[in-house]
Amino acid sequence: MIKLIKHTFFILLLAGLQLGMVALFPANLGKINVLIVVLIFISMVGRFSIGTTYAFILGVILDLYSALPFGALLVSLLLTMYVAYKIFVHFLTNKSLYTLVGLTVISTIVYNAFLYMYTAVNYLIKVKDYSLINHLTVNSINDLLWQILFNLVLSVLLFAVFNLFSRRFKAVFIDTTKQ
Amino acid sequence: MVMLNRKSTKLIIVSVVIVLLLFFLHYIKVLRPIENLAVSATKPVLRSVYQISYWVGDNYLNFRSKQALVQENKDLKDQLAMLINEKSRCVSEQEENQFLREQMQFVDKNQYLFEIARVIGQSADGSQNALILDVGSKVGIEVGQPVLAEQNMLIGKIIKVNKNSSIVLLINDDLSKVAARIQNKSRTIGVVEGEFGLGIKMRLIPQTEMIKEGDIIVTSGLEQKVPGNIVIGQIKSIVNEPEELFQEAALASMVDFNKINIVNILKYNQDDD
Repeated sequence: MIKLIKHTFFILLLAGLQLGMVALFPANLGKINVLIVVLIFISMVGRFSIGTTYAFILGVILDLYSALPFGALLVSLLLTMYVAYKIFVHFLTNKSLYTLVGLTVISTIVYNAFLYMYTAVNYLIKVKDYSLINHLTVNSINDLLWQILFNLVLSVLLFAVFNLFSRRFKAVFIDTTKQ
Repeated sequence: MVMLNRKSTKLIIVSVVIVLLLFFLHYIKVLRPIENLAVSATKPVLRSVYQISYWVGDNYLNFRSKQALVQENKDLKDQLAMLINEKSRCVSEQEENQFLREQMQFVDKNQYLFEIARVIGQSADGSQNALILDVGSKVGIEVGQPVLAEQNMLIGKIIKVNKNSSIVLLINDDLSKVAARIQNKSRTIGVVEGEFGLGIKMRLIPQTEMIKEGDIIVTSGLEQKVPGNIVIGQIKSIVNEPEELFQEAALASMVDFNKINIVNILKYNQDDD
C-alpha cells in the first residue's frame, strides 16, 4: 500500500513537474522533457517494466491535459519505451553513464519523432496546409536540439546524484590504465 | 530465450490491446467519469506545482529585474557623467570659439600680432593676483605685453616670462599700474591701479578734468608694449576731494577675474610702428 502511494505520489509529481514547472522555465530551458529522462532513468535503475508502467500512467494523464488527440502522448511514450528497451537489450550491455546518456538521446529523438508524425498527420487532416508543416518541421528540429542538450544535462545530473548514494551503475567510466 | 521472447511478445500484445481498448473507450466516452476523476485528482497537484514554480520564477524574475535595474541605474549614471563631461567640453569649446572669434576680429582690425594662451594656474605665492599662462618666451612672450580676455578687455600685463610659461599680473592687483585714458572730449589721462585685489581705480586725474560715471577707460598707448584704446573698464564712482591735486575714479571691469581660462597676449611694440 505504501509502495502504491509512493508510486502515485511520484507519478503525480512527475506530471506536475512536466506540466506545471517546465512550462515556466525561461527560454530554451522550457524545451526540457523531464518525463523521458526520468522514465529512462527509472528503467535503468530498476526495471523496464516499471518505466513502462510509469509511461503508461503518465501518458494517460498527459493526454488528459494535451491539445493533441487522445492517445498521442500515450502512444509516443509507450513506443519510445519499447524502442529504448529493444536498444538496451540488443545493443547496450551494461548499466553505465554512457548507456544512460545514449538511451536518453535516442529516446528523446524517438519520442519527438513520434510526436512530430502525430502532429504532422493531425495538421494534414485538419488544415492541409503544407507551410504549417514546414514551420512545424523547422521548429521541431530546433526544439529537439535544445531538448537533447538539456535532457542530457539532467540525466548526467541524476546519474551523479544517484551515484553518490548507490553503486547500482557499475561500469561508470572505461578504465584504460588496466592491462 | 524463446520463453523470454514469448513472454515479451505476450506483454506487447496485451499492452497494445489495453491501449486500443483505452482509445475505444475514450472515444465512445465510457471513460469520461474516470477521466474526470483523474483530472480532479491531478489538478490540485498541477496547480500547486505551477503556483510554486510561478512563485519561484516570479521571485527570481523580480530578483533579476532588480539586478537589471541596479545595473541600468549604474549604466545611466555612467552615461550621465559622460554626457555632463561632454556637455562641459562643448560649453568650454563654445566659449573658446567665441573668444577666439572676437580676438581674431580684434587683431585683424588692428593688425596686431598675438598669442592665444590658456590659464594653467594661479601664482604660486598666493599673495598676488596673478595667473600662470601656458606660453612663454619660446613663442615671443615678453614682460610688459598686455593680456586681454573676453570682449577684448585688458586684464593685466605680463610680469614674468619663462621658456614655456609666463605670469600675468591682473589689473586689480596692488602692484599693477597701467597708463590709461578716459574716452571723453579732453582725453584725460591717468594711471589705473589695483585695489587690494578687490577693485580697480584710476588715479592721477587732474582736478580740472571733467569726468563722469559711465565714462569708458582705455589704455593710453603711452607704454611701449601696450597699444592704445584697449578697454579697461568703466567709471563706477568718482572721488573728488577739493584739497587734493588729483581726483580718483573707481572702475568696474566687465571681466570676472575669477573666471578666466583663455587669454590673448598682444605682441605689440611701438618701435615696430
